[in-house]
Amino acid sequence: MGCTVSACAKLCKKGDGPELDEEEKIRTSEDFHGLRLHFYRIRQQESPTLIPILRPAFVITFYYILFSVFLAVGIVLIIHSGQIVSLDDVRYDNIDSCNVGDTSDGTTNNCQVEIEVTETLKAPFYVYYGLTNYHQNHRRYVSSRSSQQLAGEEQTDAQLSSCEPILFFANGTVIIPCGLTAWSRFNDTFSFCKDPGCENQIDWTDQGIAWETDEDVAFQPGPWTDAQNELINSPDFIVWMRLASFDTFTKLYRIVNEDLSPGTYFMDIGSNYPVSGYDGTKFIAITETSWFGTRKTSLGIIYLSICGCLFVIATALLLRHLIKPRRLAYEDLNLVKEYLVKTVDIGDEEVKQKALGQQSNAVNT
Amino acid sequence: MGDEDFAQVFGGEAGAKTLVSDTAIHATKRELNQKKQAPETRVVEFNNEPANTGFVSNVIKSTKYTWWNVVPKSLWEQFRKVANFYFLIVAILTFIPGVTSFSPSTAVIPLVLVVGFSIARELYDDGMRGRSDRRSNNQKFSVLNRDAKGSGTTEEVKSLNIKVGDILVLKKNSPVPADCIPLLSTEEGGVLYVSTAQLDGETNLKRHLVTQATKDLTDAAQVHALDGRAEVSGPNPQFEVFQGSVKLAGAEDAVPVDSLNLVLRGSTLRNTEEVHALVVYTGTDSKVALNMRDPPSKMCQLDRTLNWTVLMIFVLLVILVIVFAALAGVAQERVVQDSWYLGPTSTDSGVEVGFRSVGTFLVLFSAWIPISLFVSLESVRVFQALFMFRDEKMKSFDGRRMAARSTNLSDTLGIVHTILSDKTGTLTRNVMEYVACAFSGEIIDIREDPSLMKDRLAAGDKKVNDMASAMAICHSVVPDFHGEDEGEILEHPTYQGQSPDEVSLVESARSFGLELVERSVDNLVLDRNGVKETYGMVGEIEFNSDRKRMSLVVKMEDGNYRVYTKGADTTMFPRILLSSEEEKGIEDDLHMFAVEGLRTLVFASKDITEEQYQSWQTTWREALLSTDEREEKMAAAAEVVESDMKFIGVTAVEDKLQDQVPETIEFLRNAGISLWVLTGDKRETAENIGYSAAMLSRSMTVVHMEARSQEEVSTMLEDTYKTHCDSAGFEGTVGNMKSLRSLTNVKQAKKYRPGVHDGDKSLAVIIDGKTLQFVLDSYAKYFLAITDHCQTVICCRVTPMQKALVVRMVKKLRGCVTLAIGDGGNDVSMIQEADVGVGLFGKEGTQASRSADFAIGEFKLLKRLLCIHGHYCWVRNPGLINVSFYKNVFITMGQVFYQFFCQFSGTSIHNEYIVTVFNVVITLFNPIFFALFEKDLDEEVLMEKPEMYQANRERKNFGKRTVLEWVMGYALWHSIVTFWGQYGSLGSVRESNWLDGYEGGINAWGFGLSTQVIVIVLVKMLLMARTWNGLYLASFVISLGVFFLIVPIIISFIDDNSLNGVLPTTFSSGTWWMTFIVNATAAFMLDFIVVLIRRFYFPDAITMEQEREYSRYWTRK
Repeated sequence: MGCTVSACAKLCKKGDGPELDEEEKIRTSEDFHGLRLHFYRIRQQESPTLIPILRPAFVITFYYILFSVFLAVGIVLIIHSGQIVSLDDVRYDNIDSCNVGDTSDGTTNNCQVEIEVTETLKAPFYVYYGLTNYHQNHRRYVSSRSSQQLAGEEQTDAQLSSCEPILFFANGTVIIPCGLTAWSRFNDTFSFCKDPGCENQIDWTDQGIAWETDEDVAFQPGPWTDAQNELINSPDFIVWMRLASFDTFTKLYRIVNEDLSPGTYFMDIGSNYPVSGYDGTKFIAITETSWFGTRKTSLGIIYLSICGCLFVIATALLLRHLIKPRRLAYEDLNLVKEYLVKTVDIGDEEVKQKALGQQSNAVNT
Repeated sequence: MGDEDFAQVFGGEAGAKTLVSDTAIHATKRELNQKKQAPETRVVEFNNEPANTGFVSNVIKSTKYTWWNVVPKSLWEQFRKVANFYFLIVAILTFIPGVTSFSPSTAVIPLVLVVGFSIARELYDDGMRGRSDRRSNNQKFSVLNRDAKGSGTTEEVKSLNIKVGDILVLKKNSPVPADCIPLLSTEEGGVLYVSTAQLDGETNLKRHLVTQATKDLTDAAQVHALDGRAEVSGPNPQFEVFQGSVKLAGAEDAVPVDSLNLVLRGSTLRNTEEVHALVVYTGTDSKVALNMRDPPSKMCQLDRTLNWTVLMIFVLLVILVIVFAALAGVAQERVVQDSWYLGPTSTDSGVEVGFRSVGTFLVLFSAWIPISLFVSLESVRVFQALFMFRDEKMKSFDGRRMAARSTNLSDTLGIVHTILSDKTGTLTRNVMEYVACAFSGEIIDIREDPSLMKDRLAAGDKKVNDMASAMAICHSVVPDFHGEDEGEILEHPTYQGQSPDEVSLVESARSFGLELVERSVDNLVLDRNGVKETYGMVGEIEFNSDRKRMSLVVKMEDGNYRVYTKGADTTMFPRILLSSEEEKGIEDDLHMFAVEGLRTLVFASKDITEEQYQSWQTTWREALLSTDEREEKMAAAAEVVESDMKFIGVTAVEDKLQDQVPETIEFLRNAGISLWVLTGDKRETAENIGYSAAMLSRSMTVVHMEARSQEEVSTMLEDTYKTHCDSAGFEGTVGNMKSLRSLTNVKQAKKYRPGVHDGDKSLAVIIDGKTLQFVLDSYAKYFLAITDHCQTVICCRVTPMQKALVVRMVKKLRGCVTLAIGDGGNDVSMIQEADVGVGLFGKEGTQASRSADFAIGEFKLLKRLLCIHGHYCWVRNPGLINVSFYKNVFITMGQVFYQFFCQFSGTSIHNEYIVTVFNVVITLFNPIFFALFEKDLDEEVLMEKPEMYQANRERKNFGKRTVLEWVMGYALWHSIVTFWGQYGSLGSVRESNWLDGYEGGINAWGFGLSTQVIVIVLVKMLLMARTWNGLYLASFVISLGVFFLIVPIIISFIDDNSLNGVLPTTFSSGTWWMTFIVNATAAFMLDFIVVLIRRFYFPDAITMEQEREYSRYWTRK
């Protein structure tokens, strides 16, 4: 936006006075060294400097260019975003047979929802589960885990204190993995089928749903039981452990590597996770992605609105510049003296007159 | 009395009382006066250790810390500062489990760095003090053997073991370790010389005498054998106040001793081979120790505003914390208690959580207050002082660099409003040159013909002879034949004297053919064309500023006694027998000299008979010996000889203006600085200097204020006001107290000012000391209201105390920044009183320059000091402070906004370590480099255009408005744009911003936000500067680099994986980049609108000048 219009390197001007002697002394000294001169200039605060300055023509042009770029980007984003096939979210916790209730009693509730595909979903496309009103970002929830334990290192009880309040079983042994986050992991199961009886399942994979760095570094098997190690290394668990930023979120469940033609499909759900106690909901989301991820109309809209602002500002400046341009001091040297009177008018009348006189003399010469 | 008069003259019964109490400047007189202790006496037995008990030891201790109190005391010093104390509390809170998720290291490390830096500096200073203490305490001196009395043998004693009653043996060039009375000197007549450069900075040698009681002794053994006692006044801080007597065992009378017989600790023995001296005051009782006190610490305007701002920011923080804690309680009740996944503790009551959250938010929002600001500001100011010191252009003509002693005042130099200047030695060179003498109507001016005096003296002109003799005799100057090199003896002596006027008179007497060649304790020898004349000096009445004259009683070669007196005309006239004709003639002469700006002295003499002399001698001695009402008795005794004198002549001495003084004054005046001159000189002299220094001009109306009574003063003030000032701008009557009071406030005065002047007519006020005293006592505000209309104010015949009071008056009642500049000891109080004290390395010693905040070599350097260094610092330091508040509020606002999404639980959206690093590393150096190198205008322009100083001063670079602009404007807008922009685009529900479909989560989201904040802050710092030099640009690049490099370091250092893989993940997201670009554009939109509107449509003089400067670069090849 417009500050560095034209920057010009300004070199130290040679003036009269003792500093010149000093500088010359350094220049001509036998052990002349560029660095010494440089230090001298820094000390004397005379290092070469760039001086960026604003000119209206530049600012207006720059804002118009920025406006056109943003306009183009915004339109492309919106069109591109619209081309991504993204199915509507399918809520399932309100289906009676899937309703777990306020707390889990350990039994699995099974239900099935229909998935309507109206446009072909191109591979790879992604299946997410989502939760609402769920505060993974609560401070206690965020901090209640042990990164070392997850990375496979055995820890003392004291080191694990961050896992409070989910640290020990009733018998005093350490819970592995410990902490609220791990304890409250999402445990609904899904199968994506082409027929209601679920005999013809769609192939999907959990490879690649978690961050590579998490799989490689952060979640490692440790000296615990196989079941525990398997849990810690399962992609679903790792995805759950990457906490969501907000209270309504989706988490990647599976990746489908085949195209899905329009039609009706079925999702078999094993519902275990209680959400009604805190007024939460559960849903399924299926979508393609692009270079910017899932569909993002908002990004395009933001670009367009900022581009509107740019246009308004640039036009206002242009109009003002055309209708009533301000003379610039580097084109009209008398201007400085006018502004001196305008802004520094606390001086005595005589001083002011004198100042103006000097100014005009300086201008004349 | 004052009240009534004021009410009478100006009406307004009701307002009168408040006004007088408001203007009670005189109440402060007492503080400024050095307190006069009634000294109790102490008795010192010669070399008799058991008898001399109860005195302090000779240890000097100037350190603040000892090994056992260093830890508590230095910590106490640090945590007394509010900001440090706050961060201490934050650090403690991080150790309480459950309150915050911040690890203690994030709070402790910055605190340790900041406090450690300050403590290290303190300890370093203290260590240096301790080292010099130890050096002086352990220095070895010889004293006469304490046990073997009478043997004349000596023993070596460390300085700290020297005791009262010891007899020191001092060699040439040895420092004096304690205040002592010399008993024996190797020099003829019991004379000894010391240099007091360490004490008062005076470079000339001081002559001291051994006591009368011991002047006949010849060797050490005799001294050693002495039994006697000295009865002296108790310890007191005044160098000149010392009285007492010495009584030797067996002698009938006690012999008086005075300050001439006291050699002070801290002085150095010179030109004297060996001295035996009796120690009377040791350690903390010595005069130099009693005079040591911390210079008054000055708080600059910027720091005052800064403290206020920090307080406001802190209050804002407290409000925020309380509101959020309450919200946390509510959220606990409404949401958290129902959320099973938050574990058993989620059932805590809302009140409990609310209280706990106070701590949580105090820690979470602690970055709100910029912890590094105070350290940065401190170090930046040190560098700025260094820049001043190293500035080649601040060197004086003799190549001397300036000194910046109070580093914290660098920015105050940029907002000086009134300069109060001394005259002699400050505006003038203080190089005295004798130019003329006059004998009532007849003037001999050697500028016309240098040999005039010499010829007439040779011709035996009596008048001239008297004049020249008086000049050669009546003084306290000492001839010194010692050359610069060791052992070199000069043919003609150089003269050492306390007053340059005296020295110049003695030197001119030499040029007339009357050379002073010797001055011993009793005799004064003149060389008149090869013939030696000896005068016995039988009495001396010293000069002091009350008497304003000095007298010398001499015994002529023919045995007659004569008194020579010289002094200021006002004190001399009443003592001289003159016909009215003569008197008029002399007054005319004096007037003529004064108009030329010359300094005058009146000489007179009186022949007295032997009887008269003897009787005077007796009363004088009595007066000297008396312990009570000594001063009065001495004055009375002096009166006897200093009356009915015969007029000899008037001498005129010229003191030339320094280089470029008129130009500098003109420049400073055009820079909107009003100049007051405070001088002890006569009105005419001062006025004349005023004209030649361009402070007064013929077009000005000069108002003289000389009054002898309160009534007169009030009438005068009223008249002046009515005639010259009350033309417009005042509502109602002159006696309208309300408007009067407001007028004396700078801001108000500014408002009224445009209407006040008729055309370009301007006013100058010249006021004398007596009138000034009435003004200070009762009419300060009214006088200031008049001076608001003045270009120049000259106060003549003022005392040092009045100088300080005038400074205080202007500072307090006008509320503006004052700068006092002076060179002599009499300017010290004024220099210490002013907001900024500037001292000149003067001829009259270095006392002024040592007590000053800045010391320069010449008056003209003031221009560069104010208009370059002051100007820049007033751009730089406010910028540093503004951007520090901005950056910290900016990053903290992200945390604030995020609380709305996490049920006010205190989750940190920025990684805690990144916040810490942001604070103490990433954004530390850019503001510092800004504060070191930013230039709003080129030096050449600033040196050419004084108006730019004024424009910058009035710009309000730091204050409520700028804090609002930076905090409520930029910081708030930038934080809103980055946070909510990212919320809108980076995804609030679907955080999958990658082709691979996975989600970023809270850590990537936070890191994305942190990166945006850091880059925007760094760019903002670039944009705020007008000039980018290599270092500034490099600091930007380095900061950015450090940020990216530090993430892996943090990952390996901390024990959680919250940042693991976040950096590559974030930067591989197309959405994040798109978000970043649009957010940055939107954020800086505000800055650009502000800058554009300000630059293009509401520019000020500096903006325009910047534009002009720009064109000069382009046209210059």
